[in-house]
Amino acid sequence: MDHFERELARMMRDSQEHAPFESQHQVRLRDGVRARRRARAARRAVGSVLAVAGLGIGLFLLPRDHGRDQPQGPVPRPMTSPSYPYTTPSPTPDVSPSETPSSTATNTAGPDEETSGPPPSATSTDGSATVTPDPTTTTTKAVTPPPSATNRPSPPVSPTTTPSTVESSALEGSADPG
Amino acid sequence: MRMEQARADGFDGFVAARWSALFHLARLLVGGDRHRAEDLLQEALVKLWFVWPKIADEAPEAYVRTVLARAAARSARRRWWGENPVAQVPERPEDGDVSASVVERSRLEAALAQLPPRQRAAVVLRYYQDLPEKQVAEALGCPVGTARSHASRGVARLRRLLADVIEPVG
Repeated sequence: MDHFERELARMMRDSQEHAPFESQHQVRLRDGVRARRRARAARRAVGSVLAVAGLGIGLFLLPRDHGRDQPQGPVPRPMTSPSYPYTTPSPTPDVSPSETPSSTATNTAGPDEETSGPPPSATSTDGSATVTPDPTTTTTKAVTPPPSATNRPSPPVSPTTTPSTVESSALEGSADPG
Repeated sequence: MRMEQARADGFDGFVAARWSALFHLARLLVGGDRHRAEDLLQEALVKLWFVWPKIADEAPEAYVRTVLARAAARSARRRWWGENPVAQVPERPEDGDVSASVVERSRLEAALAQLPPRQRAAVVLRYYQDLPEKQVAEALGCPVGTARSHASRGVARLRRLLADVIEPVG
């Protein structure tokens, strides 16, 4: 601290003059305390009102948010579930019936034709003759079988005789009355 | 009720005992304006009343000093006492029946009024209150380096303003 700083400090201290605490100062101080107390009370009341209002708004909005948070329904089942056609039939009524038969026919057409179809070669029931027809002949006979070849039923795709034999037997059956 | 009366008695005793010193501190902090100093001190004492039960046995004067310094440092932003800085310190009053101490005090207050509020607060706390830089910084609510800078700049400006009052040694 140099000379100027010491002199500055001395001037600050020496310049102090006696100022007694008078009654007017006391009255003014009391008034200030009361005013500040009222201001604090008002601020606290406003804060309480705001807090209650905020709490009320929060409680008013809370049930709606709670209902919105609830799950909408059961979790959708996987596509391979057996109950799937029964759970959602209505949303796609035009698509499901058309797709299901087509897909079924497509999937089962091959095996049915290969396994359950009539065999291309047939054996006659009486075992008299076994003819393996020509593929072109067999196809023709299967499509247009004779209307009444014999009395006993026979598979439509099993022509076991030649066309000449069929014609002769047909003539015999029709002529025979017994 | 008895506690309230004891609180009021203790507070009134402290204010009555320290009013003069606190008023002088407030007057230096505002640059010599008596009315402004009284308003500032009243405001600080009202704040002291509400914290009196907590700090009555500790350091109530330090609390008032902090409130005064911070309010005076903030007062530049408020501009509610209408301080008008001028380029030159006003001429010393006419010599007559005024004593030399009054003249010296007037020059000092006029020079302090030329400082920015934060520099003035730092100078007053550092040289009138004789506080170390750390406590000056705590009272102003700023870092120690900032308080040191405010004080050194304020003193440098006061050197120029009071050059004719405080003669340099040698």
